[in-house]
Amino acid sequence: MNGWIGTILRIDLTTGAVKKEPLIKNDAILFLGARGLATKIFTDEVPATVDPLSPENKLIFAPGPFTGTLAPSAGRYHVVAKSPLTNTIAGANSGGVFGAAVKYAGYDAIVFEGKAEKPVYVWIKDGRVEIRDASHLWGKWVPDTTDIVRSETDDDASVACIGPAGEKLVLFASIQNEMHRAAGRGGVGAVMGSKNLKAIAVRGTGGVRVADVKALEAAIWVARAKLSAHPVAQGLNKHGTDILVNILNETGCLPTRNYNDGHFPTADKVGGESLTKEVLTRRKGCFACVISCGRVTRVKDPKFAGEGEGPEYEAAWGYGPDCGVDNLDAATKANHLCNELGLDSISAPATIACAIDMAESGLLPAKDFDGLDIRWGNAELIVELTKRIALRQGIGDKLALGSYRFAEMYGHPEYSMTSKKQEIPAYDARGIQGIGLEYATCNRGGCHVKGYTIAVEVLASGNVRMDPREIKGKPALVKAFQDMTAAVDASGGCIFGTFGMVADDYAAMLSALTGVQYSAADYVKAGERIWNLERIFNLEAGFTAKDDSLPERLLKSPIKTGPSKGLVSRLPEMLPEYYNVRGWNDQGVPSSEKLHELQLA
Amino acid sequence: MTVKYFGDIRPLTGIKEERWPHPHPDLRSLLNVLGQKHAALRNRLFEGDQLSSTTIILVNGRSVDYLKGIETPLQPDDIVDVFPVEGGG
Amino acid sequence: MRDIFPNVNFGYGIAFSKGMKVLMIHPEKCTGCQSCMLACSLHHEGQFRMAASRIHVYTWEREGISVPMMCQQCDTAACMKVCPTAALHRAPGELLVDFSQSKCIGCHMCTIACPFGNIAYDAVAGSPLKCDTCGGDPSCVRYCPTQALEWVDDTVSMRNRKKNYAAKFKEAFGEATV
Repeated sequence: MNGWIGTILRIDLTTGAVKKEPLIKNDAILFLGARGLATKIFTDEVPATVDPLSPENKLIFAPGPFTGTLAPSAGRYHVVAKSPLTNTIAGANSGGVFGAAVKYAGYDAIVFEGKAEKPVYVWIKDGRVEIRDASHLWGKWVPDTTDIVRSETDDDASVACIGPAGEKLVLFASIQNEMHRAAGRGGVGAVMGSKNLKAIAVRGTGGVRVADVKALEAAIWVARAKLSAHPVAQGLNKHGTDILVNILNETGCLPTRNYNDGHFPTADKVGGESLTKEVLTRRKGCFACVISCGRVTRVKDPKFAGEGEGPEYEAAWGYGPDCGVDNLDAATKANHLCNELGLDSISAPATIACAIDMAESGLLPAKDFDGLDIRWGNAELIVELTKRIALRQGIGDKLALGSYRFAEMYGHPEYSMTSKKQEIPAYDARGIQGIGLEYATCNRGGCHVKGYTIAVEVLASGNVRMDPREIKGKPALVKAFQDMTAAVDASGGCIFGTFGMVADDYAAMLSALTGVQYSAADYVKAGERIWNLERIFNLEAGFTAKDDSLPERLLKSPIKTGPSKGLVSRLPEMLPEYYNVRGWNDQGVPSSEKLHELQLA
Repeated sequence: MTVKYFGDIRPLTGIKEERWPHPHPDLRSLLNVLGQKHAALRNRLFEGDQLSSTTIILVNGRSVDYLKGIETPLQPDDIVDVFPVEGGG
Repeated sequence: MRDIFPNVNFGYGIAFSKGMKVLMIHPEKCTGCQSCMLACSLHHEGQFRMAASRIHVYTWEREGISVPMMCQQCDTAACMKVCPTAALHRAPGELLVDFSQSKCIGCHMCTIACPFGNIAYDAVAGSPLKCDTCGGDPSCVRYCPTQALEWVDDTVSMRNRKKNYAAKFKEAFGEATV
């Protein structure tokens, strides 16, 4: 096969059985790979009512056809499971090198089933698969785990692993590869921990074949030219994602203190301009990336000293304005810790913000404070709580369940800023209508990245500009972003590639690589197909239209200060039209015509 | 009137923000004067006599795309933000 | 060496024939993306197979540093010295340490001799992997998104810059003489 390898690797951790199966070509053609292929396998094999932390859940790692090739900024892989945080399907996407390593080792997907009796790690070298004892690794943080596993396997191996958070089943634990790259959201790290799987090391000497080298190279150079000319892609290289802080704040849409407000006067201190000046040491790129948005950072202040990568915008927001903090060193340190301990750097700070909000509102009994000074703006607190969450110590043990379950424990779930129990990120949906619809309808719960309408509602990407306060046209906009993102995810691409590349570019590269002809419409349709497949799973898991929701605060409590003062989310006005443009009934259920059209029936 | 600069616009002016004591009736006249004061900024503000497509300009937090573009009227205590078109996630 | 290759100049500060170019590395610009390795394998094999790449990027994750390494076309090439069949050889007046598959007996001595480890053995192809500058238009340079790899004129100053870099690697990897 070209582009794809043609093999699925299946590892049963209960029995130790290892099987190799052929990739079904039709699945590859319809679902592309990565998010699509993994979701297809998962939904075919796992009942939607499965308990996410039980051995019956499956954990699938899948690169896409582009992964491991020179398709620009398209070297990613996806992790699919049922999420223990949301109980929806989980799909976490990561960069680094791991996805490419899986392709070179000879696989389009690795399916982990069952549960090992004791901690293990898996070493995959081309066709050889070993399940090894990991008891000496259990408890170790991500950097040490990575180094030790490499020393025991191969210096050139790529390692994906969990830290203490995944071992202890923190519901938003991440899987880290290359230490600093995260399959972050939805608690896929907890699923890995529930299987007693500490790490996966992969090394491959195989390759990815190309159907038409000349056509692929030509398409690649067209795509690369577009990326180097695109101001957003270039901005990401210069300042990283954290450049967003100021524009969100200046429009009054920077969620502040757990969405108590939308404007934070000292936001500039944690923005990308400050990051570049104060903590950036150099830029970093994922596999075959021409953008290199990664930030290698170092904090010198002895209180928060350390080295690592990030913070990205969401983490700087979470550990910054969301907690009322404007200390960049502390936010950077907290983000380093998320990578080292294996925690989602959105859910972790957003959960902390919820706790602070409840404490400040007198809803947390003092005896549960752990002797900590839980208040807005406490820079030391955000670092300390991050550790306690990952290690499940004291109040961290409760926070490890996520903000929804935490707030519910104290009788006030309305303090949790979540949708489907996943923490919503860093764009105030009261001032930006489209992203609010994305938060509410995303198949993996409160998420921005799977339908990033910010690109046109705030960033004027591609010189498309839509008024963030308007609801007209937003349902169609959200659908378009969701479908395109699913296709990009499924082909192994990084969505930052869409700052420059359009569906035609992706389709041209995919066709030349695989030898299967895709038009731009085919490509986007694959995305729509994947979106609907995820939706069906969620419906079977028990979700209904009422779960396509936002916290009351966003619907009823206007932003208090700043340029977007007085605004609320108009989700209820947009939702019916969203179902309509999706071809779903008024309960959000895909019609049988739609399913037939997508070849899902 | 306060004018603020962000991202890679900052190095073009050397400052993060400035108070602008002279009232201007609209954005066009303000940008003309700013372009004269900060020479390196001029071609990030204008493409011919229209607003440059490489910037996003906010007046009191609203993109002028949804006000009156380069003809947006200004009040003496307005805040004007000049952003490069950049991004994130 | 002079008795084996009497016609080749071994000095520094001597310019070779007009139009000669060398590969320069700027590790501080390297983002670790490995596009160079992909470009190399695509050029030589028509598929993406990293294990076939003649250039290798080393990344230290904790420090966030990446360094691309490829054959330095050493003036006093250890690989040529040890090659029993002169499969590794240099044509008079050329910068390139060239490789002839037909003469190679697969003894692996070159991979042991190179102080930088810049020549590897590809078990699949059954031959050493060594940068050949893609016939004068290196693919890695074309694909590098940050210009961490440069294909520059071979002048006195460039050679000295290149030697200074090579010396740093020598210290870093702590091995033989250049």
